[in-house]
Amino acid sequence: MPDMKNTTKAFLRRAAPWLSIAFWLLCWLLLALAFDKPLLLPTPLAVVRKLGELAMTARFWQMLGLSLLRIAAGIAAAIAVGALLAALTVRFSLAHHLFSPLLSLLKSTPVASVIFLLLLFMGRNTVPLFIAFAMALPIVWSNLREGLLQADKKLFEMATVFAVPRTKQLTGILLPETRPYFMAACRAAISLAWKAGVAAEVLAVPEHSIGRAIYESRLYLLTEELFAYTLTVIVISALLEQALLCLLTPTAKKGDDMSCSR
Amino acid sequence: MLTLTDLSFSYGDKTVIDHLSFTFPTRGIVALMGPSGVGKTTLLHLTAGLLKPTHGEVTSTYRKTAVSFQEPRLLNWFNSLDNIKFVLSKDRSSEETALRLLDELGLSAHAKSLPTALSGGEKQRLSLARALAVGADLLLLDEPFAGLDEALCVRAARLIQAANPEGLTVVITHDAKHAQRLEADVLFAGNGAPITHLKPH
Repeated sequence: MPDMKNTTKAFLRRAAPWLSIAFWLLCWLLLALAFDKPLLLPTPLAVVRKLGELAMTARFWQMLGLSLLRIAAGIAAAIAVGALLAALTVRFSLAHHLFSPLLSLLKSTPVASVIFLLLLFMGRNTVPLFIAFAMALPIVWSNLREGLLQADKKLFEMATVFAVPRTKQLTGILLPETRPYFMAACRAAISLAWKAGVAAEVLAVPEHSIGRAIYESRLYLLTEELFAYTLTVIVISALLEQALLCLLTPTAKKGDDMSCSR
Repeated sequence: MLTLTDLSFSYGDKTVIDHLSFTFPTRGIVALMGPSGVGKTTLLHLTAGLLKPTHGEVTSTYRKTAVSFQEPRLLNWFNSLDNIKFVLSKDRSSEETALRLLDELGLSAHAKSLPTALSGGEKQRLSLARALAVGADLLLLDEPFAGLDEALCVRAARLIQAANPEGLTVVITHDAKHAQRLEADVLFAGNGAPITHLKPH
């Protein structure tokens, strides 16, 4: 009897996220049916059907690919620059004093203002890239800085006494010590930068982009399409997060292996 | 040769070592004893170059230094074997050395265990194994017998005695029995803080 109880509990724990999604989809369906205005609120089924139709076109994949490419480039640049700034501001207090107002500025400026300001200086195709960069940079920077500050200095002392080469200290101590901070930074940065990047596309309407498609479907009241593109953005955000987790979580081999367990 | 010249060290206002001058014997084992909290660990860290003296200097002519710290300072994401290999240069003999030391210190069953799965005493032994593995000619061991039972103390003492025959081994211990077991020259670190002299016993 307790076994059955445990199995049921385990099943419910595993199924909980799916059941929750199903519940909210049902709410949406009931609301759409009650509302009965497909132009304002289509049913989930109609949206999925539309998404299926869109997915059959090359244009959809081209838009998706180019949007992803632009925004991913911005995120990658933010990770590189953020890591560099984190290292610099930890190592040199002058750099910290010099760059910290920039960090506060980036954190507090409304994304729409940045988009319009950037549109004054650069082409519409590059604005989403810079927006993704500007949104991800402070997250990566502040998280990695915190990670570097929290890294156990005593481990570096130990390695220095044993004359362990700097590169080995970097890979054997610094990277494992800062990995949790890096993962947290990437998770937050990717989802925010992706959403902000698409928002930038909606305002800057670059050629071949999901944002432009969203803008046009809103303009021509193609609500099913609008929902379908929005659903695509949500799914891609979740997939990116999962991909990152797979990429950055080391494959621990049953606990007793040498692999990183954090 | 390890020489302390007019060495002083303070933590803020608190002077721990005050104008201490001393030349250690060139080779052999020296047991550094003294009251708890007098500054023995600080002295060890100064000789290892981990702390900068506020005055005076430490001169060492030894080629390679290894330390077994009071708190083991292990890398929790590497298993026991890799914790030792981390401080060794990459050659075939390094793994053999590490495995031999783990075996001799009763840790062979834990070679693939992460430090988080080890007890306090096991961590201490792993830290000792790491220090003994590098073949240092200046070996600094801070309470290497802490948390070890009698049988393991005997084995650890034998390993320490054999580890560095050509160089100097400095062992901090609060127990005269351990010093005796190591057949070490005993040095008393003053009568209280700060340390002003090291008195042979």
